[in-house]
Amino acid sequence: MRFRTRSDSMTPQKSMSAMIDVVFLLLIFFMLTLQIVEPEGVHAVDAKPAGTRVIPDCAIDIKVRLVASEDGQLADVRLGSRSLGSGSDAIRQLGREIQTLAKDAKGLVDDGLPVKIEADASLNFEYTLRALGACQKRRQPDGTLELLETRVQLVSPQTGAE
Amino acid sequence: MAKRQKSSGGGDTEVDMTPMIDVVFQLLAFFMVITNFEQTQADERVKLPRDVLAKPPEVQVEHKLVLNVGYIRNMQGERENPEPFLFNFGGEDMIVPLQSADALNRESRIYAQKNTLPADVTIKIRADSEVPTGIIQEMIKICQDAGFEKFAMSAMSGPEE
Repeated sequence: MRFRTRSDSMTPQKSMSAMIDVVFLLLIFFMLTLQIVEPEGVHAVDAKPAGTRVIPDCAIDIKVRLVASEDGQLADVRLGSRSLGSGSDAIRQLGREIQTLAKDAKGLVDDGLPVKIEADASLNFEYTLRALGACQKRRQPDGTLELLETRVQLVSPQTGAE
Repeated sequence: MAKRQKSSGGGDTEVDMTPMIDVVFQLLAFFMVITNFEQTQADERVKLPRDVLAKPPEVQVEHKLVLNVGYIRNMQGERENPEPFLFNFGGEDMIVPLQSADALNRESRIYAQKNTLPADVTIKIRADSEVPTGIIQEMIKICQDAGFEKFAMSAMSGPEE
């Protein structure tokens, strides 16, 4: 006598509906929580509590002055007492000058060339940020970024305090 | 003579679900991979400045506090309020720098309770490109008074418009 095996008669089917429900829920969750954002970069600022000297006394004292126009635009970029002009070209020029100074100061300062940026309080933040970047980094011919050996500090132009 | 109906009388027809499940899994994997939970502290109301020299940090800091400073703008991008705001800090928007000192002191105490020194926490400032620099300097001063020492300024990577 031949017994009928179970597989002969029917194949057991697992219900997929529970898994599909969960997968759809996950899909909807990830779709709704998706934020399309552009990559963000950062510039570091050397800042310690008031009263603490960040940059020790040093023979080299680089001061960058950012002067604002009445509407908060960049009117002048000064490196020491020398004017570099206004606008994006001046900030690029500032970057080249700081790069040269940082190279020259190698060995003279322990941990990077100290640079103080004095920006007018009314200056739009975008110019301060670009000047900050120009004093810290430079773009190499192959497109990569190189960190300059500098320590950049934001100071208030009125008092010179941090 | 009874006429047999064509389709309803036969066996149940099953729709093949396999291609749909394949596609759904592909979509799920795609969304899972591109979802970035790191950016959840960023507020989309802040119009960040662009800088070609800004690049995403290679090493993520362990403790980070994000300050979103910007303006409330209408659909055309015009300012609705001349005062800059600290957005979504502790669940609320507040005028900077006037109303932010208490909130930052509170954050500092919370970090101290979690055995983290505020000096080890990096303050990431995401400021609108049109916020006056003086406001940012005042924010930094308030943060310093609260015990924070490390600061980083955010910018969009790319050439300025």
